[in-house]
Amino acid sequence: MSKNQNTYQKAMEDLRPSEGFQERSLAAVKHAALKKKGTIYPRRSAYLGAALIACLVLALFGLSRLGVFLPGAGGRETTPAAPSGETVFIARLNINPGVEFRVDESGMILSVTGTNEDGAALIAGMDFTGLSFENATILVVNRLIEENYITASMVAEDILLSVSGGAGGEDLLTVMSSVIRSAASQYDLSVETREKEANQLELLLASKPEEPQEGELPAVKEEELPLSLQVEYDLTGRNAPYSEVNDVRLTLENGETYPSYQILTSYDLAGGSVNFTTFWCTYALMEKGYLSNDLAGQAVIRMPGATAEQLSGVERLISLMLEDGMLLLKAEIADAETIRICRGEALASEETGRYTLSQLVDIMYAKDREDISARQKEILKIAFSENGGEDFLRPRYFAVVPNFIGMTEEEAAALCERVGFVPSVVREPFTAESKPEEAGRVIFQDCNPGGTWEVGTKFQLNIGAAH
Amino acid sequence: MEVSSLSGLEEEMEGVIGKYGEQIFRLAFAYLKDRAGAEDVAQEVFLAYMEKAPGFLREEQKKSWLMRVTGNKCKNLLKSAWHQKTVFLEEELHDLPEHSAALLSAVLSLEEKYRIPIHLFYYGGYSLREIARLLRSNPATVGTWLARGRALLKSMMGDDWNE
Repeated sequence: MSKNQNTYQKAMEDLRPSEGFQERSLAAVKHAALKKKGTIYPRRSAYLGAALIACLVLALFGLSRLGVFLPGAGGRETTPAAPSGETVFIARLNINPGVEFRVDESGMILSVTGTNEDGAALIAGMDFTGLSFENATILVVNRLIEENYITASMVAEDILLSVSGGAGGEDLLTVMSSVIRSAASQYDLSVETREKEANQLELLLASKPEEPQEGELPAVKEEELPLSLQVEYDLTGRNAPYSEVNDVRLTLENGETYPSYQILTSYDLAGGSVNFTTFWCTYALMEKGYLSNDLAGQAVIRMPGATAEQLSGVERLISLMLEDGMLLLKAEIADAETIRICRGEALASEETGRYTLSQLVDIMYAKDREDISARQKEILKIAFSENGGEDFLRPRYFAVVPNFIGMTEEEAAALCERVGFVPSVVREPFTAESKPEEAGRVIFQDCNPGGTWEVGTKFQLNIGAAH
Repeated sequence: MEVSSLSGLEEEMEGVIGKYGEQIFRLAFAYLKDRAGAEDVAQEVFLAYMEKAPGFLREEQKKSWLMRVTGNKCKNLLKSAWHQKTVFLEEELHDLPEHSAALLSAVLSLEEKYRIPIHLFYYGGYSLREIARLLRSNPATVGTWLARGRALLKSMMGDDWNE
């Protein structure tokens, strides 16, 4: 037998993935990390990644630390304890609407009430029966988001958390604050924690100040600006039939060629769709001063291999952006693979968008995208036409993933829908590994409890086989 | 909870891809018999790992999660209409030494229920019990599949597959 083991193993080892498999995989993963929210956002890539890890770490932390309130997280004891009916803890959350949770010994909710008028209105019509404290907190925090008490644009807001009752109350505080942190990370809010007294926490949520970008080039001085430049899209990537840009190369007037990252540091232009890359590239060139009213010669955008449709889309997008930036430049299609930007006529109208381009970039990221001019809407629409298009302009909502492990199929599906996700139930077949206490209960969920995902995301719940 | 940056995520993913990348690729190939498809599945598995993986505690759990997700993704793909039409092409194995190619195509010609246990047993080095857990089946059933698979291979390859 050992001989076979070796021969099959050896034969299998002769089968290798194609050249560069690991590098490509890593690049794909990085790309996805940057794109998690449905967009690539180069300038903030650093904290996007951090937020992702934060979610992961948070959940890890949650699992090990809060085992008592996460049925099943600690091991195979997947059946939630029945509520004992006796209030052991009273936890309060106040962000102006105030909510009070009565919790029994095993961490299950007995009742949830509003401590003021807004609080009562907030939880009106919500059903908390049979939920763990953590899941009830998630419902309340999601409602706070829906009702705009927690938004991306909040300047600074205090949330007061307190717990009274028996020993172990600090775990309830940790549960509440980790749920709030998880929600805050989705909106790029910073969270400052202050311990007020024993069993009392104050969380200060505030929008993050723009961080200085690492490795940014010193501002380009006027006299160093090249008079003309050439931008070349590399469309020869592995996904070549799809419109993915492998990299962008810039050639300055003196003939030196650079990959985009050397000149436009902090803009990752590779790996996006053609229009999206164009948006970033044009924006970056404008911001860095390469495309300005001082452009004496011309800028040439070469896109070998592009289709006529891609070419005219790019030309339209650049034209709109130049117009929106109020530059006296025009873009035109020079030949089948070239777009030329050169001095144009004075603008017919001085009208500009309600926002500057750099604000537009922030708007791409925010929830509310209503208040932009028609031209800017079109810019975003073209920029995202290959990444969901119009869909990108709709507001996005996020919710925190509850822990479903140990719930019955009906409870889990109902909770999943209440929180805003779509459950996809998989019933496990009966095997020797099946345990009677797992029958009909969720034994596996494919997403971390505590992570934040866009409302409407589908999650898989595996249900133990009936005995 | 302080997290340094994107580079932390990168490091973790580099580790997973370096350590399990080829194993995932080969398991996916054993399911799909298609290299490009296997690479695509592997990438999907890495993405799923980054985005959805539960917080792992032990290396072993990590590995079995990855293998299980790989299996699920392959099965979904095999169910899809597109894949039902594709046929295994010998040229998938053109760059392998002759003996290896012959052995692999013999294994690949087996039905999925024999092929996957054989792969996990002989290549993955899993025990019957572990295979049963990965495939959500009974160790006894897996034992039967393995035995039948081996018998089939023997009848196909004669002495080249010697017990």
